[in-house]
Amino acid sequence: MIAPTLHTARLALRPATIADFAAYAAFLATDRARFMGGPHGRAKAWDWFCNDTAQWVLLDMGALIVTHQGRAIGQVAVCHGPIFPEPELGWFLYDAADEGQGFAAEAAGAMRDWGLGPRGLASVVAYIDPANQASLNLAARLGGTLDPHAATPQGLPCAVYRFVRRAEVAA
Amino acid sequence: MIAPTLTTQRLVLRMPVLADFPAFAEFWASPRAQYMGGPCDRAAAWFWFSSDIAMWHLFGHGALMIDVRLTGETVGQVGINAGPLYPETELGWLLYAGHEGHGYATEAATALRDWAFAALPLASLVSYIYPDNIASAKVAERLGAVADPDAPRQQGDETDLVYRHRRAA
Repeated sequence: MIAPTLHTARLALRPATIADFAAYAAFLATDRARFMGGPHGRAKAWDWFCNDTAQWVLLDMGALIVTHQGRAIGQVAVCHGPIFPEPELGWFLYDAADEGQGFAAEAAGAMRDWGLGPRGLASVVAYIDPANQASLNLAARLGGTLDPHAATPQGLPCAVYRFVRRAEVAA
Repeated sequence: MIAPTLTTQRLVLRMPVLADFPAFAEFWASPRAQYMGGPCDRAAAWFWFSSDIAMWHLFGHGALMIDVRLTGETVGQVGINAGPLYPETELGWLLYAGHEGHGYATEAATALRDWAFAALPLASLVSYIYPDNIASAKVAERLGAVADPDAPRQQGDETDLVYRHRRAA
């Protein structure tokens, strides 16, 4: 499918272009990527950038670049593929200076709603390094609940938060 | 962009779909991948598969699967590759086990090369080939490409042969 562009009160979430790769690779090369198996070199960054993009063709899901007033500040995604046992809701902000303003929550909330709404997924999960307190907090704020029985990527230890359709919660 | 579907005398070249991944991963796990930096596991194969497809969106070119028209069987892949790991835009090809010797790689790569020179503003393309990959070097020569000893190599692959394909005058 063609990747959608999603709008929130303050943000636009849009498909990535090749011009986004430099900032994406720069982020993955920093210590901020330590909770994503990083820091990663340029080759591994390209692997993930292509994974995030190709999913729209292969799986009708994928990643969107988070922009605020036209500036790219990070990424959100619903991604699957052989590395993730289930469709995953993921998020990151490139720069610590953009944290603390609710941007990640706003973007990830919109991506969650797209995945569980228009995309029609029954649930999505977030795989989070148990040491990544900020993301653990955000997953809970977004209405995720810990699922101790969920499979983890490559069987590695991580916290799995599950998000389900609201109608199913009500039912 | 939407990838083209190219039809030759015996082949159809078409956009990869998810159902192509198992055979593609099997190729990457096999000794046949030794000339492409493999063999490698399923996760690494997934990243190659992803880049083959993502390039269509990012650059307007990428990889196509090779199907035999008569049987519908998928016998390999041909691609126009670029990105941070490639010094120049590359024409690459691979055949799954058991499908060599029919001229499929030459037929597919000729069609994709001709499409690329018609559709993209490229002065030339290169093919990076391991020096002991005699079969692929022969395909490059059949395509009319010429060895370019001065072309930049991919990092870590400094001993590659580089064949250059030029736009027909």
